[in-house]
This record gives sequence, structure tokens and C-alpha cells, in this order.
Amino acid sequence: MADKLGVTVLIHTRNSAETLPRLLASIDWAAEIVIIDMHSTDGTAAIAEAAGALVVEIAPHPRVDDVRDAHLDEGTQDWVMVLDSDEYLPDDAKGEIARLIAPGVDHDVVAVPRYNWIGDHRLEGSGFYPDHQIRIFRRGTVRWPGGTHKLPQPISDAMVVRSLEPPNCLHIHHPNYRDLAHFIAKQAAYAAADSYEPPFDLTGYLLAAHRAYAQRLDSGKDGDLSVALATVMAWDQVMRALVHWDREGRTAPLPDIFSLPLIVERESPGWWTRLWRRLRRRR
Amino acid sequence: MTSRLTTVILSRDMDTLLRFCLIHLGVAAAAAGLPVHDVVIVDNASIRHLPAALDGAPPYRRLRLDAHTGFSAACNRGATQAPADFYLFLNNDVLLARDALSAMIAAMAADPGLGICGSRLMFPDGTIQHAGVLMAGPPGGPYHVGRRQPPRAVSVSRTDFQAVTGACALVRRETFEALGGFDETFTFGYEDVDLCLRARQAGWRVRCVQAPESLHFESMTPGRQALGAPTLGQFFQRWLGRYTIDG
Repeated sequence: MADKLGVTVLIHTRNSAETLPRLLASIDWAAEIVIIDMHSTDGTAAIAEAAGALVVEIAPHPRVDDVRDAHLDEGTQDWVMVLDSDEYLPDDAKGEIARLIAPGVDHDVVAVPRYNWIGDHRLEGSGFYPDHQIRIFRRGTVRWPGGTHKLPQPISDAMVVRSLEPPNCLHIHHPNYRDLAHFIAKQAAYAAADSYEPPFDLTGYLLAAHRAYAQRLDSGKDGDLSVALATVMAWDQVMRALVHWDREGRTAPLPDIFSLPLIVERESPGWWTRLWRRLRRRR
Repeated sequence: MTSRLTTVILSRDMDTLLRFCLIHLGVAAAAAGLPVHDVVIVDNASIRHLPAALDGAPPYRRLRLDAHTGFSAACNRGATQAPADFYLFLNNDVLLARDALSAMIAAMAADPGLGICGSRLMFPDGTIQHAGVLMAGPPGGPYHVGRRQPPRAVSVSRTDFQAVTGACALVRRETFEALGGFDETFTFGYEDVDLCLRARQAGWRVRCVQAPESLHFESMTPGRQALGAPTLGQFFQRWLGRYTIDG
């Protein structure tokens, strides 16, 4: 216990037996690990308990950030670290975190960059890197807004946020997607489970779709995969629009302009058409 | 139960070089009667993360460091991953000769007082990269005997030295543990000479086997050479006046 770090690591789980052992092995330096388990049926709780973690059983909930926010007060340590069950930390995490929480540090909240993978491709751009996450903070200084994968916020402007400067620093490791199909399925699940605030604004979603495509397209760093990711993230906005429209009773007009732009190649006009256009212009 | 040998290699974004290093290590280990042994690769903050396996190379354990750390700390951390009778600290730009490891292990077996055993290393042009370290005072400090000279410039019968390079060094476990491993206050450079001098202070011998010639490209990792300069001052501060000046 003497060489453990004064951190409570909070992890929410739902049938996480496949990835949880890797995460638990990477945080064996933490003084306290609390698993918020949503009635897993695959042995997740047993794995956590065998590693010495405290398991808090709660009812399943569709939106993970609600769960995070409701259980931020679990544990007793002065510093809190929040991790997803499919994330893990590198082998030098203990030393890096010890420096971040050392007595006398002048920050309250730490934003940690995150490595994301699709299969064996670590994303270097496409809006997926450095992907800073607020995950280390003094107890009571951060809240999570409700939803899925929403960004946590310090509770007031008085909190000092330190953002780690990549690449030569601690990262969260997130081998999150097996392949593109897995990525698409997860985005669709998040869209279906998320909460939506009225009023429904179709134009806003369409603008967001175009913006997402522009922001995610980064083929200089991620090659053709970034084209695929940008397309999925643009369609994610369209899917969200449809779910939102559905949730509001399908009463808002849904005009037939509802599509992503398509560039249609046309055959060049024949000689008769060209002559006809020229004559019309003379008139 | 500990294994007979653990090899520790630091790597940073030079996977192809590492792959050939490992293939040569596998051949040398098999020739030494150790076809299966622990290999720990310390991925020292590579931009492209080290893959779980490299095509055709022996299997290894990965130790991932997100924050780039010094040679000493990374080597010590690697060694603790797999305790063994002997630790081979090997640079990723060393291609071992088939019999290099056999010769080093044989030297250790023949002399229980031998704590650290290095090996002759050659540049790709056939000149000497390392055949033992000679000790000099300021401003140059320790240097490689016969460096950039043809092979015959250093006799193969000359094996006893005050220090050898850490680019390819076999260290007895008792020696390594008694000394507390490499001194982590040295970041890059002279930590190997420091370890050898401390070993000799504690009564262990240091030797360089000269017969098999392995290949060392030297300082292939980008930015490596600039890292060593500050530690020479640190080395003199600790050791000046406390070692014999070689002739």
C-alpha cells in the first residue's frame, strides 16, 4: 500500500470481461479502484474483485456520461482518474501520474491526450489525435454533462486545467474499434442512445454533417481511412437528425433536400444542343 | 524460477532495424543453446507504436513508455520485467554474429568473478567500433580503443578492460542487483562506463571478448548523438581521479 498512488480510479463497465484485465493490470499502482458495473453477465465483477477493486452494482443505463456524473463521489482519495473499460495506460504511467498529483502542483484538472486505434492503425489525425480528455482531477472539481461521450467540465472557472503536451507525455491508450464496421455500429448505437434537446433543427444537423466531413478528412495523416471516417462522421450527424426528428414525434417537416451532396457526372452535350444554346444566347 | 538469459533492447521508431537485430539475436541465442529466452523490448515513446510481433523475429515482451526516458532507467525497467541469471543489454542497431553470445556466456561460465562481458563490434566498413573502452582524463574522457581502425589494430588477446560499451553487454545478475542496475541519473551516455567502474570497485572483473565480430551501425536513432554530451561532465564529476588512466 505504501507505494500506491493516492488516486481513485473510476471505471464504468457493462460486460467488459474481454478488455478489463488489460486495464486493471495497467493501474495496479492506484490506491483505490472502483468499478461501477451495470449488471454485467460475463464475469466482469468477479475479474474486478479478484484485482482488489470495489464493485458498485447499478442498473443498466443507456448513457454512460450520466453514470459517470452520478458516481464521481465514489472512493476516498484526493485525486480521481476516470477511465473507460476499453482503455488502458502505458507502463510508465505510475511515474508520470505521480508527478501530476505531487504535493504542491498548481493545477486541479489534467487533460490527457489519447491514442485511438481502428484495428492496428493508430490514428494520427482525422480529429482523433491528440484527442485530449479531462480524466485526472482533484475530487469535486469536475462534472460530466449527461449524454454519451460528452466532454467533462470543471465546475468553475477558478479551476486550473493543465493540458499535457503530446507526443512525449502520458497518453490514454484506446484500441477502441476492431474495424470500420465496429466503428459504424458504435456510432449508430451512441446516436440511438443519446438524448436530444428540442427544438429539432434540420439545417443545423446538415451543417454539422458538412463540418464533420471537413474536420475529419485528413488523408495526409491517415490515408484513405480518413475519407471513410469523415464519411461516417458526416452520416452520424444525419442519423442523429433522423433520431431527433423521430423523438419529437415526426412532426417537423422533412424536406426532400435531405441528402448529402452528390456530384453527378454528365455527358458533354452533343453538337445540336451546343448550337441551340448558342442561338439562344444571341437572342 | 528465473530463466538463464533476458535480453533488453530499447527501441524508438526503428522497427525494421529492430527486426533484423532480433533475427540475428535469435540465431546467436540458438547457437548458445538458448533457442527460447526472454526478450524485453522497451518501446521508448515511439511515435509509431511497436507492434506485438515483427515478421520473422523471435517473440518478445513489450514495455511501452509514453514519455521518452533515459537509457539507464529504461534498461533497469526492462530487466525487472524478466529476472534471469544474465542480462544482455543490446542496442537495436547491433547485429550479433552467430557465435557472439556463445563466447560471452562461455567467458562468464569460465570466470565466476567476471561481472560484465562486452563484445567486439565492427562498423559496416569493417573498421572497429568497439573492442573495449580505454580511460582518459578531460577533455575527451573514456574512448573506444582502435575506433575506426582496421581489425588488427587491437589484438584479439587483449580482453581485460576497465569498461566496455553498453551497446552489447552481458551482465551477471548478482552484479547487476548488487550495483542497483544502471545509475538513472545518467540519461544517455557514460552510464555503461559508470556501471563497469562500480562493478570493478565492488570486486568484479570486466572483459571484452574479441573473437566473433558483430556489426554495430552506432547511434542510428534520430537525435541520439546530441543526448550524450551533457553526461560527460557528470561522469567526470563522479569519477575523475578515481580511475586509472590507460596508457
